[in-house]
Amino acid sequence: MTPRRVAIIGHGDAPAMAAIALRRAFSRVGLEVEWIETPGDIPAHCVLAGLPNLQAFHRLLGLDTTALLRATRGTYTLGQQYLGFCGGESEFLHSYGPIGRPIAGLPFMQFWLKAQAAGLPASLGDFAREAVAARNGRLRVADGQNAVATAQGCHFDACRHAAGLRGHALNQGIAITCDNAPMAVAEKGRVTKLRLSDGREVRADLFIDTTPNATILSALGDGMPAAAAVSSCDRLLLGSAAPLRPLPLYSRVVAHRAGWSALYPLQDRTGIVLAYDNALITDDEAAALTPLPLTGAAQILPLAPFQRQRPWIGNVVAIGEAAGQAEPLSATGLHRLQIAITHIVSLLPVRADAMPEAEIYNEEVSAWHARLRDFDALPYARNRRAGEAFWDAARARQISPELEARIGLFGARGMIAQYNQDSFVEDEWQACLIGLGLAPRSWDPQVERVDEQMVMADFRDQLASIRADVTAMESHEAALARAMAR
Amino acid sequence: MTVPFRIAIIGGGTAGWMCAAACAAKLDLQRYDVRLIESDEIGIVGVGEATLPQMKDFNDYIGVDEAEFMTATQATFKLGIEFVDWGHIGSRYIHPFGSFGRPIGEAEFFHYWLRARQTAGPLFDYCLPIVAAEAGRFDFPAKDPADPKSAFSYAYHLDASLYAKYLRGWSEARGMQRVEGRIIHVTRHPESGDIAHVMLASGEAIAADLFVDCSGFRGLLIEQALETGIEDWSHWLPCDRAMAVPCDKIEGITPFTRSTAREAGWQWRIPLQHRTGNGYVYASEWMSDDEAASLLLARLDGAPQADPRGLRFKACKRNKAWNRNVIAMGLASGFLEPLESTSIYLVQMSIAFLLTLMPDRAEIDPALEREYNRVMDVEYDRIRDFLILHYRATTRDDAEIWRYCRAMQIPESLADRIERFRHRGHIREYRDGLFGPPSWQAVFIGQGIVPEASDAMAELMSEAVLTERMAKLRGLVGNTAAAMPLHAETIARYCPAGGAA
Repeated sequence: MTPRRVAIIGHGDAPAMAAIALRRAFSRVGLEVEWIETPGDIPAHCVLAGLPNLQAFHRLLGLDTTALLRATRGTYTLGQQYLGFCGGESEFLHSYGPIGRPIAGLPFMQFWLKAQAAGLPASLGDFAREAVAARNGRLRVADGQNAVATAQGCHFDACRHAAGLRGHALNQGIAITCDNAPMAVAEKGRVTKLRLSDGREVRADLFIDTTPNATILSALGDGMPAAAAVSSCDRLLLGSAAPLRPLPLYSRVVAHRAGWSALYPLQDRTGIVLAYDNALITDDEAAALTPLPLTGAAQILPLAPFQRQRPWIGNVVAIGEAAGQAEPLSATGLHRLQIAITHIVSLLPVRADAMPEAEIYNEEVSAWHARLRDFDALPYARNRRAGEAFWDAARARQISPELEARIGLFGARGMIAQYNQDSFVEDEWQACLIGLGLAPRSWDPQVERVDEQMVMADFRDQLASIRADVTAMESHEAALARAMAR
Repeated sequence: MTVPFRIAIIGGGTAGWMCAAACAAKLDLQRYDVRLIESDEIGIVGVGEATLPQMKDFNDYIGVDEAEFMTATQATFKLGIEFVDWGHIGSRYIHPFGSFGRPIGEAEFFHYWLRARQTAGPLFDYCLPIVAAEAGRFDFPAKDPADPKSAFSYAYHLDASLYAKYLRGWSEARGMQRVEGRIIHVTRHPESGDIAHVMLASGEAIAADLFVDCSGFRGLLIEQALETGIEDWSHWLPCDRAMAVPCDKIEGITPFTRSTAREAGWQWRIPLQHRTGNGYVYASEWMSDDEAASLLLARLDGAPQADPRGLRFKACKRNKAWNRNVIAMGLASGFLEPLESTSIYLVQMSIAFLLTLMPDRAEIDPALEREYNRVMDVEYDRIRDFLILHYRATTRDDAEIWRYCRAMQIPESLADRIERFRHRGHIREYRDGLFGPPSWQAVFIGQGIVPEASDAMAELMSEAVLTERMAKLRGLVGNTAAAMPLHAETIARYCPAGGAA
């Protein structure tokens, strides 16, 4: 009674990645994977962002990150810059990688807080190697040498990325069947087969639904999605601008009076996203807010964030667009697919007739999503753009008890409450909280027992070694040129 | 320099002195005025205590020398807990302080064992601390993870009253102030409702900004003064009494605690250097005190050294371990029976959390209290479920307590865990804290809950390769254990306490 067949339905990255991951992991034990490809298109201007741990996912998929960068004219990224969330020219960088190193077994942050209060001029970001590297336009891609690589993510052109993934799926021997509208046939709370337009029937033990309206999962009823908005933004404007020179090593989001705009560097263009509340500004007004002049026509899409609380029902798992839509403030779409697919691989059902894996999956994946949503809700909840209707409402918006507690604890002690599932580490939360102007009221008293001279010497040493390290790194252009030449 | 923040630790048992020692080691005593109030008239509960490996982290953290502390407390090493007659009468297994196997492929070792179990022999043969424990051997773990003598840790058996005494001397030498006196009255602030001061029999009133309640079961401040209330768990963990008695030690010293399931609860056996601690934990609903005492005395492996002493308790957690300006630690914060040696672990976690969240002004930031209670709740809830599993996973029907536990409603969190393990060996992992997957695997397998299927990932290895790797690993574990010195030899070399204390 072990599952033998998996059918994956949909278009784009989600079905391609799910098919590749399952085939590579389980074809040796006889699992058959079929991709029923439905029509769809990917917005021409769309850019995908990958966090540093995307590379682990690429290993699972047998993908060469460098080759994918080449094929998509992609770039590296060391983080995301936020501008104007505290009004005016305020800015901060959410950089990947650690900030400072612990001293005497206590977190770096606690020492920095004390030193700050005593007048230390160095900012938190000065102790973050990736932040300093990003601001200097330098990085170090793992190259087999002794020096430690920077923690970098990537930006990809979405259309080329999808084409690359589809090609990789074919290379992996995955059967792709194109069909306009596969119909799910359900019986006793389970989907038994798909009926294709030509009358062919596809039977499978497990179905992975990636269709925009979750057409397969819908056959099982239930699964009403919950609203998952972090703001009143209800539209996205996508466009492209000329490529930036030099190429920044981070993406940038800039708050505007009714939402935000973002800019994602690629080698041959700059991806632009503008999120806004259409009740406050018109599409034309929004178009005038793009941070760079657009080349060509923009595309406007509706934004209605939702998250299915039970994406896996019976023997159908909804992932990607079928499972939810998020406001792309931190551009974690690819990361969400990674979470879903790695969970399916580790929870591949052991029986075809009973899948308690569904409950495990729903609990865990929901928890990951809840923390991701908190991360996007944070800059809204703590914005300081007083007097603008959109931002005043954003501050008043309800946030999760977990985020509320996190903000409260950080304000009291500069600590980050730990939860089991969290895509971002303590240091990343701290960078954002400090960046948003939250100043902790006290620090860990154990810091007082550590010799101040020793701490200051440690600080100087950290700053000097980061400076030396960054100076020895290569420029973004040089790293990309090597990647393109391979 | 502002006025120091005043902390009063109420009670000088294990919890009180652990907290005082940590304060002396980690706080700036110019900024924190810390004192411990205890009375020589009030005895402490220490009966010989079994601990978890985290205790070594605590001692290292505050800077206690291991060999010195072990010598002072008649301590022995502990590699795990042996559970006898739990799954059914005649069954036994060891819950080890270490993992099973070593990585032999892409899947987790446990799933390879599941697949190969018909030919590979017991899971427990693949665990170094278990094989060493059964041979009465002990050696310190290797630091290099590639060394076969790594991947385990160890704890201690110790005399808890000697530990409190040792920490008292240690703390006083580092500036901790001890106040002798019995508390006769607790006064709350008329407006805020916080504790203002405690009054000693001598008439002296001691005021503080923060009180650490280590007064034991009665919860002098947290319960008697603040009426914080408890979450009652006795319907899941019905044992509510214990009889304890030390007896003469026998030849050799087992490097493990033993817990034997009995007709109304279970019996512990804790080997120290100079004697063996014993106790019968039972449910008063199904057994009288006299019966428990006589059954305990009849089942010792050495001559008793005293009359059995009775203890009363109730499985519970204080609704808020941190309430107003009082933080309850140890038995004052709740009670979980010592089946998995978690008492001292809970105390040290309370201390570690309190130190990082320690207030620095009399107006206490409520976010600190909230976080403290959140993390302590997580600790308590996880241990609770793990303890209930021991009672639940049994086929015994020879006594009322076992029939009750087999039929009782269990927490949903535990019911899900059992079902998921049974289905495919799934164990939810935590970022940190108790208990990790090897602990759950040990109790499930040791008490007869075996998964129906293994992870598909484990199917990817050929039968021949799997058989060969399993055999090789089993041999490696056996040989590594056999090369370790005897437990008694390690103690004699490292931390001899010498003769009877």
